[in-house]
Amino acid sequence: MWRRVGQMLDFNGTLTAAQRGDEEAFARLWREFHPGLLRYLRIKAAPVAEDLAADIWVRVLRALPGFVGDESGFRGWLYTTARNRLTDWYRSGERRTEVIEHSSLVLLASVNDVEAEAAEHSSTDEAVALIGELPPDQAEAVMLRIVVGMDVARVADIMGRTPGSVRVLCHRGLRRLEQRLLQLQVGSAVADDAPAAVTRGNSATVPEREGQRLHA
Amino acid sequence: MREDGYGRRDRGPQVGGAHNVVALPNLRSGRLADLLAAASGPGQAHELVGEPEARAAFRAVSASWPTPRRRNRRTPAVLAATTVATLMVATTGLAAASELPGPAVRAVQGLLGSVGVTINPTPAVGTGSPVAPPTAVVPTTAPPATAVHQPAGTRHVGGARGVCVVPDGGSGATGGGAVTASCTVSSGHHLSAPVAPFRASRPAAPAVVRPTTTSRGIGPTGALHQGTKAGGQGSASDSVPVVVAGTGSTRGGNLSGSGSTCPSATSTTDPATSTTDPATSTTDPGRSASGCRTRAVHHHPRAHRGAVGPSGTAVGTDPSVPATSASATSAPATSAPATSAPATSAPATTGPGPTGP
Repeated sequence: MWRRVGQMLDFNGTLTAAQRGDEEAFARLWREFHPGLLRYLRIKAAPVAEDLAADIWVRVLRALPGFVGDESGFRGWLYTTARNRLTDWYRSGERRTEVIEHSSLVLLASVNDVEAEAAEHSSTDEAVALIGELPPDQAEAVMLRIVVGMDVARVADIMGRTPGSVRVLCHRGLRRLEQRLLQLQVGSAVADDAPAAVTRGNSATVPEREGQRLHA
Repeated sequence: MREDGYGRRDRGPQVGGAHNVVALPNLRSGRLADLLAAASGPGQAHELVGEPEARAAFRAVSASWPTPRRRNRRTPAVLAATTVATLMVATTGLAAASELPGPAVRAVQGLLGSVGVTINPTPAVGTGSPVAPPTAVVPTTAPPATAVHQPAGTRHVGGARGVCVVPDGGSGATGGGAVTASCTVSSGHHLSAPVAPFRASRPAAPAVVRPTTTSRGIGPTGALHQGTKAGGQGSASDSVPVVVAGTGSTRGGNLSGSGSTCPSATSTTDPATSTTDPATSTTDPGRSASGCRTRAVHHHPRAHRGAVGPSGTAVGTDPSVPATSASATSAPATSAPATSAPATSAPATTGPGPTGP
């Protein structure tokens, strides 16, 4: 099995040092837990995932000296805080559409190596994007249970559901992912044959493949 | 396939059959496993670009963290023990203040006075205290209400209208015997009254000699009414509130010339009829003489026996009071202890007294 994000070797020592004010210890905690938190937020509130993550870490930092628990408890506490912050975000009406003027687009930083960055993002970001295509509850259950690696009971506490419901959500989400992967595989296979098809005059498959890629 | 009695066919066990098992996705191999592994992988570079901001947030927030305190579980116990010890020392000091020698008394006074506790201890007679008690407040120079120390064993205590001669203190060897104070007032009366011994541990009332113009209050021999409420006895102008006061023995139960019968006012005078110069009086302004007498009489077990008659004359009911110690018309309830109950304080008072209802 792969090593999940957020799994540290010496969590207790690092946490204790961070609680004493050790910045490096906190940086280690952040590097281990922040990617998973950011991925979780991307499937829930993709446009503001970075901002919400920063706010969540500030909340965690304020209560960090009083935290008592192990790695599993810290992970559950972190994601509980994240979900509460998401709930606040949903309720507070912060989900307003951000209008970007056309003139400001020129101020966006350009990417020098687009291919390298795309290759780097391909595996992880595409996987998260595929999970994000699931229904919200299934995506959240799969993310917390499978990707983050929390047990069913803790996921049920975070989501406010029963453990059985979490299991069902996970199962359905994984089944749907599997089906989606099969569709993508079939689409890829069809796309591989697309040039020939185009050559043969069947141009309908090419837009379909491109659309799947963009959607993924 | 069998049929039961109701015509239903038994199709055999179906629960747990192969068609009820839901096939779980393969998470160990295949594309789904790769997908989940990619989603669960370590952080990418673009996901960790916010580390400097996170560090800055940590520095900002950790600066406001409370300083870690090490809880000492012994603190409550130490506080409790210290409190108990302090209370014990303080109460013991207060209780033993009157039993200590003079220097110790002064030390205790200084110690307790620093914390706002004022004590007026009366050192015990026979303890060898060479120092005059701090409450020996009978002034020796202030006229006219002064008590003149007489080295011949008597003490003159008087005011503008009379002088009482009281046997001097140091008669602790008498062991509680009664002494008689004789007073001469300006109106020509010569009064004598037995002064009851008292216990210094219990504040006693001052012995107020209050002559009256009527014969009901004072007997033919000029004996004093003591401890009675004699509302109609004498006018205020005629009364001479000569106070026999001072610091007395704490053990012997003897009234000495310097014996104080009031814990804080050793020369207690009635403000209404006082002839004592207030400037030289040692009366505690915060404590009236009546209050002192009231407390003393309440302590007396036979105080209520000295009832007040319809005419305001005290009618003594204590048969144990000898006739020589009081007038025939007033059996001094508070003078009874002089002969019958030496251990109790017995203020010798006349006039409006505290024994009323």
